[in-house]
Amino acid sequence: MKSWWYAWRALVWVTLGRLWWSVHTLLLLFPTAALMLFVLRYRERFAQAQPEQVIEAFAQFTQTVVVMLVVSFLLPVVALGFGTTGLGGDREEGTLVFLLTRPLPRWSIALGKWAATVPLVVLFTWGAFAGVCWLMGPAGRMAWRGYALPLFWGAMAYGSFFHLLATWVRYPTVVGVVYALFVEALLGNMPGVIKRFSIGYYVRSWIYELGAPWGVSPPEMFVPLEATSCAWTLIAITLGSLALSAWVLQTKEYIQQER
Amino acid sequence: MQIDLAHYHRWEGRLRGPWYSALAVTRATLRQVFRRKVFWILLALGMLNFLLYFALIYAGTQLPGVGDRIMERFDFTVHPDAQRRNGYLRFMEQQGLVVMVMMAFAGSVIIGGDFRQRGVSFYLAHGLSPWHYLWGKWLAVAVLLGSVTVLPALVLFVEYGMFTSDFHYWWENKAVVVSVLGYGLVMAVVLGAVLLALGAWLRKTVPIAITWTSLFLLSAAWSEQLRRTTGDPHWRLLNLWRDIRCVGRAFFGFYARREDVQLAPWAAGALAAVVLICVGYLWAKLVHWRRWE
Repeated sequence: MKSWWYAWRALVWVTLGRLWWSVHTLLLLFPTAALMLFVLRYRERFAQAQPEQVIEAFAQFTQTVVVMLVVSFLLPVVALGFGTTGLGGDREEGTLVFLLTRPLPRWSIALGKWAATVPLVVLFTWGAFAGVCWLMGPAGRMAWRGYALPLFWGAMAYGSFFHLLATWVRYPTVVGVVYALFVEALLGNMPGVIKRFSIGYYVRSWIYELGAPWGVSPPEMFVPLEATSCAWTLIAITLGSLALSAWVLQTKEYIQQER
Repeated sequence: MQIDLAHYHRWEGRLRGPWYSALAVTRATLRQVFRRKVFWILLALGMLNFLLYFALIYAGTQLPGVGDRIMERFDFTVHPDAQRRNGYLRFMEQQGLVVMVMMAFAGSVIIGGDFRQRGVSFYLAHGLSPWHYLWGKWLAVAVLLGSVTVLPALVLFVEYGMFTSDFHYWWENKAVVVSVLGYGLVMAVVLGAVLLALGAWLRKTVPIAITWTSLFLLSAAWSEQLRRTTGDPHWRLLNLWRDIRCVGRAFFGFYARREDVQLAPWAAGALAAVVLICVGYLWAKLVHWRRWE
């Protein structure tokens, strides 16, 4: 008889396969492709730039592409696409009950779904960002070296948070859409400390601090945190969401909803 | 089992034309949306802006001197300025984010679920043509859109008039009502058609949300970039949201730039093309459904 490790590994692989070969991946490739086409046009502005003007190109690329399009749009949408459907898909399709009857501890199911979902969010975001940076040329390569780490932890935190939503609420996709499009967009741009409820705020703060030596400055009303605090907060969100989702799945009674 | 026990009985009310059956479709659809708690949370969040302006108008009318400055600070004017711009237009344009999120949520509930769970067959089996079905669904979208844009704008208009000493404000600015309704109609026609087409195609919430947001956010970034690179303002027509604003502003007679005046007819044409494509797709989908499902 094989150990639960085999069952757990199978769960991860099946989830990974289902997430990757889904319509979500295809739909996420469209905005990614559009983003890359955008950068193809965008870089023409700096085509004649001298080597010393690369710094200026980097600063503008950070503001326009990295912050506005990658962090504020692509990252939450990718996390929404994969994060809420890892476990939420089973819930909405009514197959969660079959999963819970498997001889696996419930917390390990949450862990397995997380292990399939979050790396996919990270790899997709990193892949898109790497492509965008490569297309941008020298300024893009600077951005990749500088911002890969904040994006990694941003993707981890977003993915874990959406995974938590999937275990916690009945309609994770709907709540996820509201969070990603409304709360992030609204709270993340508000003055004062209220923006700290937005995960994107920490990623942006981190990026602004890393880019500061090269002239990247935050908008007027944006008061960034220190990079160290941002890093620890994103790590805490990741681990906290993972632990909480395992606890919720372990203790919550799931009742099959009428469909 | 007797047929009476199954609650089957003849219709005893007044029989009306088939277009009225669309109202039943609208009613059933809205009931599905309203029973979701998250819709009410969204509506409450969407009303924050309305509450702000509601309070602003109250302060503006009740605190002489100070109130005007507060309204000026928030750039909310109850009278059209020299360019015919006013606070109601500003309010409706600021509701864009709310509209986008609400529609992303509503797409799968309004029409996606019908296709996913094969409920379309039940609608089309009741003597409804695809047109009646679409009309009913579009009305549901229009009601939802109107509840966060047109209705609050009209309430603000009524509120300001009520705090004045006579009825002159309403009479002198009666064009505001027509303008608000016109802007709302443009939004409802275009967004309704696009949302219904996307909902029928993608069916589930997340794919609809991904495509819907990409459509608005990336098309805005794209069109601006292309305009800057080529210097041709016609690239701005790629931005659907901007096209809606451009045409909607015609009802207020306000254009921020001369370029917008020139682009307005093109924007109207672009929107008409988008609506036609979406309606054509929906029609083909429903006819195919009725024939094969």
